[in-house]
Amino acid sequence: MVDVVWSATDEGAETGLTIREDNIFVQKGLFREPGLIEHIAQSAAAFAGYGTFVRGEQPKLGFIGEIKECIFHQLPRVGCELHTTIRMIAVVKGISLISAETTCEGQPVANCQMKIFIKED
Amino acid sequence: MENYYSLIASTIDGLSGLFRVQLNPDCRVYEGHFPGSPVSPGVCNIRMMLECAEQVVQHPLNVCKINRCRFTTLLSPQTHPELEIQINLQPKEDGLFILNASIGKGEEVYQTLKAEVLNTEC
Repeated sequence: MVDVVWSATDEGAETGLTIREDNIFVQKGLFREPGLIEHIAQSAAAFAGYGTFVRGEQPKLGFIGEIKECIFHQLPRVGCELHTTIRMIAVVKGISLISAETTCEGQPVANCQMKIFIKED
Repeated sequence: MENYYSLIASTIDGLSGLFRVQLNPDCRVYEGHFPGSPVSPGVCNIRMMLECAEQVVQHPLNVCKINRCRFTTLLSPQTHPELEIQINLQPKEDGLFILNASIGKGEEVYQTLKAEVLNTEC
């Protein structure tokens, strides 16, 4: 659930998603909380994928290990263009700690911290 | 999230509840998560816990904040077809509840959730 990666560096990434009516997390025209978390997790995965791409490695599967201090300011409507900023805080033993901020038309939507496990082959 | 799970049994006592559910291996989330190696998406499990909490309070709930949610075991309909969900809600002011929920089986705990939920808009 990421349409576009606007930028990606070693420190973070910026991603986007336009909410479509047929998204499985849309209920009564609103994009629900689990959808926001999944979008943030997949943005983090896109960021990790950029790193493996740059190093010439195969992309790996990633899973959410922990979600902390996740605040939902509003539930975005269908048609809304989400903009998410991912910042890498630390990587320890294959676990990435990231922070994320999602906005819609400049208004805050969600803030979150997440630990992502990367599955080694 | 249609057909993600089916409810087998539930016991509700005040603001607590115990739900037995069965994961559906044919749900379309597994087409993408992940092709050939199904893993139950953590966020779908969060939705499942919230839907159980809504049954306890018999009202739709909005999530204002997830204080902490931990996933300690990867789940799939193949490895964990049946799950038990425990719900406990503590009422605060103005329709706000502190939700403590877990997914497990018997003595084992696979995922835990602590969140602030509201029976109106956050």
